[in-house]
Amino acid sequence: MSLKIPYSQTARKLRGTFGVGSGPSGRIKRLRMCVTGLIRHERIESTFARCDETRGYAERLINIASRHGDKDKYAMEVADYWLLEKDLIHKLFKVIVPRYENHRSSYTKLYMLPKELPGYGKDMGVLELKDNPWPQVVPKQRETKYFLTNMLVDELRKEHHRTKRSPFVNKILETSADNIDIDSIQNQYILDNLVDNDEGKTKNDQSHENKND
Amino acid sequence: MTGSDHIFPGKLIAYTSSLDLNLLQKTLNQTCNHFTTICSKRLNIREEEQCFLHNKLFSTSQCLMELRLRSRVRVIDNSPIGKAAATAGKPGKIMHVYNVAAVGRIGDKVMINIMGQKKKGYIVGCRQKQKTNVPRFDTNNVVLVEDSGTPTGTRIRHPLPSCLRQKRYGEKHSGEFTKILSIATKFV
Amino acid sequence: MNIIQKHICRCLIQKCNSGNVPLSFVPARQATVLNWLLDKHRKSQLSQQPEKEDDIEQETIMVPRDYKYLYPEFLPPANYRHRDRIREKLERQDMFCRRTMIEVPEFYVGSILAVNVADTYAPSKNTRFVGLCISRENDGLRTNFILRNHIDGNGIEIKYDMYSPLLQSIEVLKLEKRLDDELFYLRDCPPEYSTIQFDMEPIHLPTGSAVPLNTIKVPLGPRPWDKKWDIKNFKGLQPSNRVLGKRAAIRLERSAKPWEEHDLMKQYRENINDEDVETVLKEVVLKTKKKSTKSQRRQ
Repeated sequence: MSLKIPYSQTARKLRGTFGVGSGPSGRIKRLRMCVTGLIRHERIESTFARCDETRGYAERLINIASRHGDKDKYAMEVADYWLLEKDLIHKLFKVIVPRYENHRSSYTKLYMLPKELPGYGKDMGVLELKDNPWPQVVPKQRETKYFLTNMLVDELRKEHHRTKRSPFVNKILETSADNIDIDSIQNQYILDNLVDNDEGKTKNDQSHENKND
Repeated sequence: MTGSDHIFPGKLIAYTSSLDLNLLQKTLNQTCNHFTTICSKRLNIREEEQCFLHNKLFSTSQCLMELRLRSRVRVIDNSPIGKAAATAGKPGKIMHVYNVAAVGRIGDKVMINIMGQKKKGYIVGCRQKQKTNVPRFDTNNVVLVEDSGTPTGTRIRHPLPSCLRQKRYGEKHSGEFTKILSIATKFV
Repeated sequence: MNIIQKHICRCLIQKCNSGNVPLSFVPARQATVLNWLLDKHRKSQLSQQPEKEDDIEQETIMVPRDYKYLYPEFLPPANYRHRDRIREKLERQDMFCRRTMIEVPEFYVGSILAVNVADTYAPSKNTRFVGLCISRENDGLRTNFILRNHIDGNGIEIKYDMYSPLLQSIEVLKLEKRLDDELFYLRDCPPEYSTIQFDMEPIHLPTGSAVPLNTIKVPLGPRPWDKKWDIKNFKGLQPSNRVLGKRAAIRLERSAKPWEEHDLMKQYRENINDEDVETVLKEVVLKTKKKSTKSQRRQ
């Protein structure tokens, strides 16, 4: 099962925290606390670096839980290690895993919060599990694309370009996703754009010139 | 700063005034700190691996176990001088490596200082990391040879690397190797 | 991006979302030639020598669970910067070819092997070496292993390239595993733990049995040692008697690295994607089944 999130090849070291510790052992302790918090509250706000690190671990934890199920010894060990509050183990297997049964993409979403002026503070981020009960972090804006005036202007623009474009390009744009064939398009495109004559102009350029004349 | 106690022994204090000392101390500390930060950033050394010597850093390479000047060697033929060295616990030490790079490898001729005597010998086993199919020995083995070219001992009971039977060793040292190979019993 | 490219991209994304093209995450710094695109062009009718793969056969192959441990050298390196699918495919071809000439048995670090190497300098043109495998590096065609033996008071180690044409035969005299992945500490242990008789008879295990694990704990010899073996976390070593200083004690504690046991991201980064492993091992199953090779344990 591959991770559906972008991750860097090197892990961040993460600075130490008071009461938790520093170094690799302190880092893992801190991340366990973050993962536990994420599973409990389904949305956590922290420094961006910490959120990014926990994202990978949370995704992997849910991956392992969904893959092996709660009867597996290894999955239980991992859940027991990463979730410091043990009632969350039940939540992981019984609530979160079924929620993401048909999910093909990532289980979490990471947002960068805006930098507060004067900008001395750490970059903060919000890490949340998808399909959580809270209101959205970025509320859905009205789509200006579907306003009447904008739709009319778009159609006018398209008509204008359609008359100016070559028939070859129009033909490709009309083909749907199922019928698209990259090889044939590429070959045709190459043939059409071959430099034919001494002036260094391609067939397409020539056809455009003819049209303008 | 504990370092300052090392750097300023009692004698210096007699010749310099306290102001000068303070200045010296400050500049030294600054330069040391600057040097340590540069080193730790550029050389990417973890703190545990840093070698400290009076607040200065130096990097070390891996242990290569090369045979160089003053390397100790083990004589593996049955020559009386080799046996004496082994029993006395005074192994032979390389005085000169007959090589352009002063590093001895299998098949190189060396000059050894053994039991107060100068003896020539051939390296027949290295502790250094070897290529594939070439054996690596746990001890640096050497076979003693007279100036005339004949080996000092009469028999070699220890295994020798098979690659010594190559022509190039024979050609390089004008037939001295063939005499050694003739007294060898086992090849690896 | 011109208008045609944009349209094609949009169609492809639609195709991906509908599930017709497999999703694959491409890291930012990979080579500019996309592997799936290259494969597609190789298979197209316009190419001079189109590759014909039995797609149907590939789907119905079941890979046995232990193939990951039987053929570890076929698996690609974990670091994506060292990956090159074309090079890996070509190497695998060569490896299968070599495996038809010589039987490469299953062995692990801790097994006792006997190796026959072609040697122009030997009178019989062959040298035989028997030794304990102290290390094994799996890296495709460059797979090598080191055998160690103590002969006539000399500890000798020889490194062999598994796919070198100089190797005439590899025979496993005793198949077993040890508690550690590398046994370099045997250099500083008493010689009896590295001594193997040249005329040792091969020990056959009953078919279908698990690989025996030798839980021996070897004592260290007197100092000086090559490395500070007692501070590192070696399970196959007896704890040494030397009194550890403050720093050494800290190092020993940290060497166990208990925090790495469940470090999920570290494990993910260091291991190859399961999908990649499956595709590689399916190829191995196909190629190894075509010719019947006798393994010492199976059959």
